[in-house]
Amino acid sequence: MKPVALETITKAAQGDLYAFEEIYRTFCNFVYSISWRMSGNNEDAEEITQDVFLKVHKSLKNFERRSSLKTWIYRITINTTINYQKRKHLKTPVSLDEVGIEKFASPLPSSPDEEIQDRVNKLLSVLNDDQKICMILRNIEGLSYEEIAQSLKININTVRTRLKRAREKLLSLRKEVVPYEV
Amino acid sequence: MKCKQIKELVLTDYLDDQVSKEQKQSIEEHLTQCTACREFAAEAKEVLKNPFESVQPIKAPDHLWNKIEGAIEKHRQESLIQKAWDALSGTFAAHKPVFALSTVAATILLLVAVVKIPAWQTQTAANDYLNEQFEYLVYSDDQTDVGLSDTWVDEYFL
Repeated sequence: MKPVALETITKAAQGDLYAFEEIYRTFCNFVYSISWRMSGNNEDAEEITQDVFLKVHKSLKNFERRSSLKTWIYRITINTTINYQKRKHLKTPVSLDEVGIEKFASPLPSSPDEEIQDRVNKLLSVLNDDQKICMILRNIEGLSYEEIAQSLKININTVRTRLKRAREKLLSLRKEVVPYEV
Repeated sequence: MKCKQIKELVLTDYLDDQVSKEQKQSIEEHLTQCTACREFAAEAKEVLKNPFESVQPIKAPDHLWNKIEGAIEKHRQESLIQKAWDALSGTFAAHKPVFALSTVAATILLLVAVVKIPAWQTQTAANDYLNEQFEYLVYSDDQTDVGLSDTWVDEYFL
């Protein structure tokens, strides 16, 4: 992801739609990916992504550049996604103890890529939102602990603790969540 | 380092390559000596790292920009309408003292009308009554003046 030039940010803040499109093109895959992995479906992911970029467009003139544009957009994305989840009461944290293994039964994946995607979705589905977002940002999007801490506005040790708990949970549930895995 | 510390680091900084060179060396020395920790690290890598690294990136659909562009345009139009409305409201707000004075004046006039009209009406009624009484008395006096025996009172009673 190449950084967006300051001039582009200024132009976009002044209402230049071409400059804003450049910002969109830089971050759209990240925003869509986070919202898709958190919501689990295309419709919600599109709605969240649209909501995020409307907020960015509206607030760009107030962007104070204390943090980088990347961190700022990451934060808007994460907050919007989590709030959307809460508002729509989508997928509350799933406990295997409560719902049993049937919850994760799905049609057999048709390709190796789908198989991996399916396995990752199942793993993520047992985590609460805080743990899930940390796992997505670190394991899939490759953010550093520092970037995750800034994006979530939390202490770096909290990031570490959330990742540790999420991974302990995944290790303890791995055979139930992904039964076909050896 | 103890096994508990090693396992915690394996689940976090070691798995995420966030450890320093010295820390990494120290952890790996422990892993060569401790079978339980080595197996734990291998399992952690297999379950917690490999599947996530192989996952395909998700891309935003092409049509999404058009939707966002449309929404921005709609929002821009709504903002223009809002601005126009605010400007209009501002115009009225600027003349607020005039409107306030007019309202006060109108209220005072209304109050005066409400208070004054019944009093005037009452006074008029009283005046009418007094006039009637006066005319009656004058009429009575006139009758009396005509002559004592010919008064209608006399005629009535006698």
